[in-house]
Amino acid sequence: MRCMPMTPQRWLACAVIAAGLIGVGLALAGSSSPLRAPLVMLALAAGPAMAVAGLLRGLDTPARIFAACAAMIVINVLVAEIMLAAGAWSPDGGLVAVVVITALLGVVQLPPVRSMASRHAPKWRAAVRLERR
Amino acid sequence: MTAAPSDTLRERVPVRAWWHLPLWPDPWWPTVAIGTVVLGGLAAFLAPLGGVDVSRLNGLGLISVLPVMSLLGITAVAVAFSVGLCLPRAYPAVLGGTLAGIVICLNAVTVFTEPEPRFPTSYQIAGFVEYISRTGHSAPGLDAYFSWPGFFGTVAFLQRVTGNHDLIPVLRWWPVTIDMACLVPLYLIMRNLRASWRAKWLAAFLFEVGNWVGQDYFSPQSFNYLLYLVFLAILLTWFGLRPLAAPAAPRAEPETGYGIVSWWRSSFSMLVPGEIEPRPSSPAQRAMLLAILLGIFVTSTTSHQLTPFNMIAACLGLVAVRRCTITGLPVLLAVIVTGWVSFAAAGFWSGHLSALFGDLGNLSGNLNSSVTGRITGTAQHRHVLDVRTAYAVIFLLLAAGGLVRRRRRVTDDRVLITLMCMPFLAFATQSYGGEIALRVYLFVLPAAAVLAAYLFFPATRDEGGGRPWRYFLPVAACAVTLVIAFFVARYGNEAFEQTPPGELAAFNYLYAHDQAGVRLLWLSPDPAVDDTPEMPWEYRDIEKIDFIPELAPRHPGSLADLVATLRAAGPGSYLISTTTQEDYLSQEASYPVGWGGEFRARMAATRGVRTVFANPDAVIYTLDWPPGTPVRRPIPGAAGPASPPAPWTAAGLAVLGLLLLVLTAREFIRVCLGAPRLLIRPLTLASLPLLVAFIGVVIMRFVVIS
Repeated sequence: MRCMPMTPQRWLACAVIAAGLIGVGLALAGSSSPLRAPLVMLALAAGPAMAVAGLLRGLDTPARIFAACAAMIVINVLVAEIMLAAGAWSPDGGLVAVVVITALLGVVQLPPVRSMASRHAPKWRAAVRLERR
Repeated sequence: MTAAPSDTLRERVPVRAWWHLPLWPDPWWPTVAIGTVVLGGLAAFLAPLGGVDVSRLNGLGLISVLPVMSLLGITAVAVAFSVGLCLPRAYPAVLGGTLAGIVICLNAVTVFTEPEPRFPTSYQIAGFVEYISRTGHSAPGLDAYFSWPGFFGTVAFLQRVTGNHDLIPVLRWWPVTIDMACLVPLYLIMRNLRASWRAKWLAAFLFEVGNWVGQDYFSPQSFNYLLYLVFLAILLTWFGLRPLAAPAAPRAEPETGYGIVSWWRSSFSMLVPGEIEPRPSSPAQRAMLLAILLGIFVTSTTSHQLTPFNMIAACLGLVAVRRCTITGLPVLLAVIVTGWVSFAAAGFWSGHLSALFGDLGNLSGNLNSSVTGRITGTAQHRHVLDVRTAYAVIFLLLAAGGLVRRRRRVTDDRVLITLMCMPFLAFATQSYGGEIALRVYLFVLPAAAVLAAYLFFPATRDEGGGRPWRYFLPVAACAVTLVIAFFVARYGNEAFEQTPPGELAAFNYLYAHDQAGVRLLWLSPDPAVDDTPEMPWEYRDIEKIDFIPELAPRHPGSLADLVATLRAAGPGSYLISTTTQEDYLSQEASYPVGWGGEFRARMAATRGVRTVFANPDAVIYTLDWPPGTPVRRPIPGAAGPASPPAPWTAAGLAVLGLLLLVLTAREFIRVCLGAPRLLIRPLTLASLPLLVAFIGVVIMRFVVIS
């Protein structure tokens, strides 16, 4: 597999992911470190937002950031709401759920998955065109 | 000089140094001049705030103690902003910084003048968060708010994972944060409009200054107002309709006069749409954006009872005026919110149907109670209400004026007109007591602010020349007036909406003594209607303290009834009186001046009454109970979700699930594949019987459960 060139944006993304993971680790370990609150908030805010922004390539930057932040709010609120409605309240579980959702959104953007999708895309488009006729 | 080919020109442009970046534009002096004035104004506003004594407020509220220096400072900032609008070109960094400074001055002034966060209801909301954080479930039986627990649950979740921090700083900084955040979706909304940069910046300013309603405290509705704007921004940016046969460029026709004939002609001739065409997006992007849009709506549905209806109304209006491509969206949204109210919020409406729908269609009744119901109290305090009414009326007049000016430029602003008109539907349908007028104004505000800005700057694009300076005086006068009036309209109730530290101390005393439950009597001018105390209530242990409104005796000496009620309530009962509640009685309900002091003196002198806690801000009384008096425990509301009858629930949920599946699939196919008939039609047909069945289930549940 070819290595991706590391642009400054990618370095920043990696730094945010690393800091977020440290925050998640601190929270799950029940640490009382002053770094816990900012790093966990970073994980819950920047993580899903970056993952969704990756799926919205092609939109102009302000719109992309905006839509990604909207998605971030939705993911956090719905995780909390589903825990409440299902009677399965667990802040740590919710944190893990947000991390897993973020990871899933990230995985579909990995080069192998994307190249597979782009290989199958023409077939899908052809199918739709057929139907329209 | 001959014209050089453009690529040659581009090559000759030298590489720009960092000090020539857009943040530091040529010419540099406007940035420096405006920046200096703004910084000076902000310093003049903020510096004297530390010395403000908020215990000496009169009926006009905060403005009665604000230093003149502060008012001069904010005036200077408002004038500087107006100057920025009239410069030949935009300086986004300067305008943005100035606007941010204004937002901080307007919405964070109490952060600097008051030691504790303001507004009683924000403490109550913090109490709901604390309950979920502590118990891990919501309790619709305890309070109707718990039928929409999304916001409380999210804050409790964040609070727990970040290490269980105190919410007081969040309460304090929430208003200014949420007001700043609202500017982001507003910017996205305005990007879709055919308007000059001046109109857009002025609209952002008017939006912030017009938002004096005070619904931006720590609460689900402030969060949902942000969601409402986000919803509109996504809808208008990516799902607005491509206008049919739009001319490529706006017409450069001269303004055509005010005569009836020209008005008629302009109404029926081809108007230029007031919006630009939707941004290009791929099917996958549209699917993603639709998913986010639906997510925003579901988030709103689970966290607030009113906002989803505003979203549906806006969406329906946009579909009706053909400015929304997802034509089936209103139906889908209506099904989502009906499903939530019917299944998840059953605890709220079972038994309260008449209260919910009793006011349906009672338009004049709702209007009257909204507008006139609150007009009592001292003459001075009534000025605050006058200012608020005038503020709303002036805003609507400015918007109407802007509409006329745009119309004379043959511009068709139907999106803004729709967004401005749809919230008024709430008057006819919602049963929300006297607050509905304020909420309608709040939801009218975004569109009204843009239209009001068009009154000054109606151009449909950024014009190079023109004479923007001729608008300086009107804009500056308007800006300064509105900013100063904001402090009256927004903080006019500050005498009783603030939270003195002594009151918080009194409640902390109660929370330290509530293990066995407490009945807490407080003094209301009308216990049947006025059941929200002006004190930091319910901010902890909401299931342990039962707040009971009792009629405050108009004559502070006639305490027999009050003491008898306290005695009947039994051991573990207290009576609280706070300075803010006493101010509320005199300012809003015309109790005599000095009522509170006399009440406290008489109460302390009454035989059998014991003062258990006292400071200048709050006093708590109880009675000397003879030994052996039976203790009546307060009855906490039922915890956990209310359980509706089972047979309808399972069948109903199945129908709802199927219907949501069909309708959602239909809309995704519509936005991704361009509405192929072969797919859309079967789904439409399938949704109809499901829709009928769902309506049947909802009606049946209403009948059976209530």
